[in-house]
Amino acid sequence: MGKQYIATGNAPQAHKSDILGVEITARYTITASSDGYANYWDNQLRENQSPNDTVNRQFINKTGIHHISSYENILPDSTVKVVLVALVCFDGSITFQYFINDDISTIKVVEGHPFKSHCWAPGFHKDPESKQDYFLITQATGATLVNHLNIVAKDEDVTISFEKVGEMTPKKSVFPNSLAVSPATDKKVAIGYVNGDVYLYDLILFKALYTFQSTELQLTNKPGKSSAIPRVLKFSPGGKLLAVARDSQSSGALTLYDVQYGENVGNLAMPSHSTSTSIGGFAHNGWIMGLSFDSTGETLASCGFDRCVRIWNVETREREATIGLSITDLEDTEHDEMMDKSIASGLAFIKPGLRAGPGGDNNEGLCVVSFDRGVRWFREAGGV
Amino acid sequence: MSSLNHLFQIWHNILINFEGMQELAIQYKSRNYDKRQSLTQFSHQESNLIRFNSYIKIIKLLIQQIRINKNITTIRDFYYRDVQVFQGKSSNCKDTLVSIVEHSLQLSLEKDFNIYPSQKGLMYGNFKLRSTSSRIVIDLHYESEPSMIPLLTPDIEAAVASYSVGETPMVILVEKEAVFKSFCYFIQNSAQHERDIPRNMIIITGKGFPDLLTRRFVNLLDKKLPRETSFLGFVDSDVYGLNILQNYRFGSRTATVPGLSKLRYAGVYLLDYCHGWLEITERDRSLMVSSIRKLLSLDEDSETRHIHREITRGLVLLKKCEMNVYNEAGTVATTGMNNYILGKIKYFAPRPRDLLPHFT
Repeated sequence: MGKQYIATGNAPQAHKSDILGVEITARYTITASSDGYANYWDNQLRENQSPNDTVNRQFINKTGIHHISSYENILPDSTVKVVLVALVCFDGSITFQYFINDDISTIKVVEGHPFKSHCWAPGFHKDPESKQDYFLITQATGATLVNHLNIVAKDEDVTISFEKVGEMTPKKSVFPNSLAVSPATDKKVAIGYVNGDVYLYDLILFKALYTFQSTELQLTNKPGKSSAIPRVLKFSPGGKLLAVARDSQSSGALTLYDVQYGENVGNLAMPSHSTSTSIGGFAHNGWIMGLSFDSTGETLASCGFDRCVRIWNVETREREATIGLSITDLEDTEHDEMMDKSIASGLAFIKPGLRAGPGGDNNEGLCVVSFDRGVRWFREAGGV
Repeated sequence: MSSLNHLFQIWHNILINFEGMQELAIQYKSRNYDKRQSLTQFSHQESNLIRFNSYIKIIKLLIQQIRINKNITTIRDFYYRDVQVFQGKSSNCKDTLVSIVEHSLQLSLEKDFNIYPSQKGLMYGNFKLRSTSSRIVIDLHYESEPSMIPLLTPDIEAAVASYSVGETPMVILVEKEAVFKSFCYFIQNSAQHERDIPRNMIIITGKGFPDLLTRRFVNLLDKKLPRETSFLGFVDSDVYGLNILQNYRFGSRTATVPGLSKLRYAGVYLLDYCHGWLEITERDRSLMVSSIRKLLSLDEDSETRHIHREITRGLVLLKKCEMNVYNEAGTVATTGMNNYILGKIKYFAPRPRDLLPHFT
């Protein structure tokens, strides 16, 4: 059973440099770039409005932004809805922005937080039981800081504070380049290290439950190094599965792990007739830069260096669709030939009902960002 | 001239002192201190004795240099006349020379003694420089071998450029010597077989970080060549390579050489050349972050934006990219790289554009 995706819009030259991250909130698609800006794109575009008409561009940091993570919650004991966005910059600092009740004009910067240097991959945990939220950040020094996230609202006055409760450090000091926090109640976090290992930690016990090692066949003789960098990690919406995208030399491998029992439950791979890939099998003919589960957890999307998005059926492990990216997708074709390459650097599913336009109410949407500086929106075909 | 006489006077005093069995003291100035310092003949410290020795030796060599009518020579030649005195370090020789001639005597090594910095850089191409008396001072052909960057004698400084073919010249700066050599032989070969190559290239390498002479020569070309001449840089996509590019473009902090702002970053780009991919180390990471900060303190133009984008890409992808003559298996893998460089040069050439080269 194949799926089909239709392009519903795009923003050419959305940033001045590579777009490195995308997050979806109820009202906004947020993109972050190494040009130092975070762009808030309105999901509720009216007909004949182009995304560039209503975008809100926020300057964050001259060195550029490499990671973005968002937190969205209607605070318990209050009716105020807060969206908090963590933007991690190349100088190692984090800028937190927040706005309330989906009104971008209320946007403010969180002052006086402790995250000023060495920060790399961020992650929020919104407690489904509304007891304690978390903010996690990996550091270039090898540690991952675990913080309680406390948000208090008095009328429309919001106070956001962080309280460090500990850190998780593996035995070796290896750079933790990727992080994912489980959305489920069991408080699990996965951290990927550049040597290929992915550790599954328990946030309450501060204990590594499982280590998922790379099955890369080619070994390097330098300790702490591997060509199997776990570039992206993602938990399924129910927190049962962990998807890990690793480099496999110049290809990208995609593995699913069972979180509860710590088992490798399978690879997602393209069917191949070539004898050279009989052992591994790859998901992408290039490194994988983005992963996203849809809201049901039945579908996983991946994208990367081979300039395409692949949609996988998690149950059957089969590929449902491939969306190719090309610079000519973008309406404005004037671009920088040396630098603008249509490598897909990140993607996120959009829940039905968030995007305006035909089919937006019933079908999952998809937003893809790229090194060609374009933001592209798609939706699943059918059901209109 | 009085300072030169001063040098003879010093030598005379030295000789008298030796005969008179008195302890000799030399006063000198150096770059780091404004005050005069002195070295004595019978110091208690061994390092001072060695230093004293090297000062006497240099004074003697300078006198000889004057006596042989100041034939053009290099600092390296001075060093090799007595390696032991300089403890096997050519930098000691250079420092002593500069201290005596430039700081103490207030003379110029080049103008007053005809002593030039040693050549490090190499050049190759198709290009002529004619002196004002229409004598040819630089004559490069694609058929000839790469040669050393010439000493910037007054003759060369005053020279005017001329070309064998009426095409706008292109100056190609290459970071690595191995890449330079391989590309030169590739061009030599292509020229022999009359393949389609730009006719007026000047290819230069500073063998890694360029020395003063190479940078001054590049700036001389910038002055002498027509304004529309393009300057292209081919460096590794790592901190060192990009720093070298920036060094040509802006000059270093202490340099007396002006920058070359029209130098374009032509390659190699991380995304173009996957054969050169290497993992970045923790040290690379911190150097990359600090060079991003450094970049931001400069005036923003399209080149600094390219470089910023390239470094941030490296950080996100955790990779750097080196131009290599040899591939992992140790076999020569130059054709791809040379074609890549040539493709980029053609892309920037002032004529209908070819497609941008890309190979994996």
